[in-house]
Amino acid sequence: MPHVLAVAYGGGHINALLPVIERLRARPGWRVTVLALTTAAATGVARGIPVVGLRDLPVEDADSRRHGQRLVEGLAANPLVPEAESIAYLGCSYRDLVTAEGEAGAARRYAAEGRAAFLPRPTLVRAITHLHPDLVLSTSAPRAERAALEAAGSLGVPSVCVVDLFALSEEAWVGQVGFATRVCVPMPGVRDRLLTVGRRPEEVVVTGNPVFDRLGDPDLRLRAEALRQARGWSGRRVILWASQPESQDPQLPRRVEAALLATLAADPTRLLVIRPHPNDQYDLPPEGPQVAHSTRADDLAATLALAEVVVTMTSTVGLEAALLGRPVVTFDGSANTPFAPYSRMGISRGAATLDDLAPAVDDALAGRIPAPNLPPPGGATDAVLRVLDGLL
Amino acid sequence: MKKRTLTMVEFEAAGDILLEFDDDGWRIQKPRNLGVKALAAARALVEKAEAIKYAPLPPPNHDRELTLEEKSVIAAKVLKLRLTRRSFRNDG
Repeated sequence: MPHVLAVAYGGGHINALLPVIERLRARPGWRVTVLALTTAAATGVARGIPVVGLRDLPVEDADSRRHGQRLVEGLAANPLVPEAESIAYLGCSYRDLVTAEGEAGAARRYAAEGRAAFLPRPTLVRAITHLHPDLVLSTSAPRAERAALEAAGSLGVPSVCVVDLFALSEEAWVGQVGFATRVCVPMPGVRDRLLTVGRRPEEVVVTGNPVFDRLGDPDLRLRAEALRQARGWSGRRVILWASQPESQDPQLPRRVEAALLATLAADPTRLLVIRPHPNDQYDLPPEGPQVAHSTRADDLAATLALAEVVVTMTSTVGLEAALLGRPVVTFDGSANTPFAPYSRMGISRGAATLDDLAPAVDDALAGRIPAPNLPPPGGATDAVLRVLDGLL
Repeated sequence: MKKRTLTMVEFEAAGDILLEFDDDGWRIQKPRNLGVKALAAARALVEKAEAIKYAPLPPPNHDRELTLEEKSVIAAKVLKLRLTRRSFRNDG
């Protein structure tokens, strides 16, 4: 009976693994243990998947509890994470930092780097030794997920790392020979980069990201057309602006938006649909003949599928649009552009300055932006499962 | 004289278990060659090895991190391992 241990944090990390976990759980005779870290537990439970936390495993001791109690006191309570789990996660991670660096070194590093200093390998070695999985599945995230894959390698357990996006900051460990038996990446450009830094061709597989499989829904075009009709956008050339906050320059998204509004005069059929990031709170320009709003209540995939061009700075929405074959324009002046280099990866037409936005949008609307080389959405979960099966 | 840096240490434990230790931590060598019992023993050794707390050096070296060589000697003693091989990098 194959036993797979999946390890993930919340957000995009657990979301990338959930479709694979659900399919594995549906296989008769397969056992899947999900070690859900921090907010991932709530995500898993919401999908009906039983999860375990570090507090459920024999990884804590008096030292870790002492460190955990101290560190949790400085944290704002998160309703999605039980305090006992925070104590276990922070305490074990800090104990392992002390093991690696000594008390003084650990204190120095934690003061300087916070949780980024954590790499709880000994804890994950204990967890894997206790659980005896046949395979470890995780993502390219730092800290405990990285530690899980390193620990699997130490213990001779085959492992699969699912890279959800570009793995730029993660290249330091994902690019290392021996880090995960197989690395699943969302696009060929990421594979090329990992091969350049030393991974072997047979170790890195372009699978796509399972979380984007929903974009392969055959009914998506119908949903998009229905949305277009419902919103009264028939005959309009939709420019979708997916905004997001820019902490170092909060007015930057507003300047991008103003530049996009200025492109509308060129053609009265153009319609700027503004979809603000949930954390980007501001007074949107009022809806009018050439401006509409899109909220989280709107079907995002359908909204992307109906757009003639999608504009963003670094939102993941840009990648989703590209997977749907929509032309993507990125404003590349964000502080986050180096971590989501859409234009450098050939996924978007990059606008280096605000003045470059109008010609880029014109080119997109005129069909002068070539489609990026991305695997069509819909087969990533199957592809990751094939990689797993190949190791068991 | 050429300078060289220790990059990996190999240890042998009872039951033909081979472990290696480098700056990335401990690793079982050729785990597929081990039987179920030996693999479980090797994993238990790695668990113990990863959790070793190396005491700081006495002053005035107490701020210096232990070298791989120093850690290997301590680990071999604590875990009763036989040090079988060292790999070095030539630093020119």
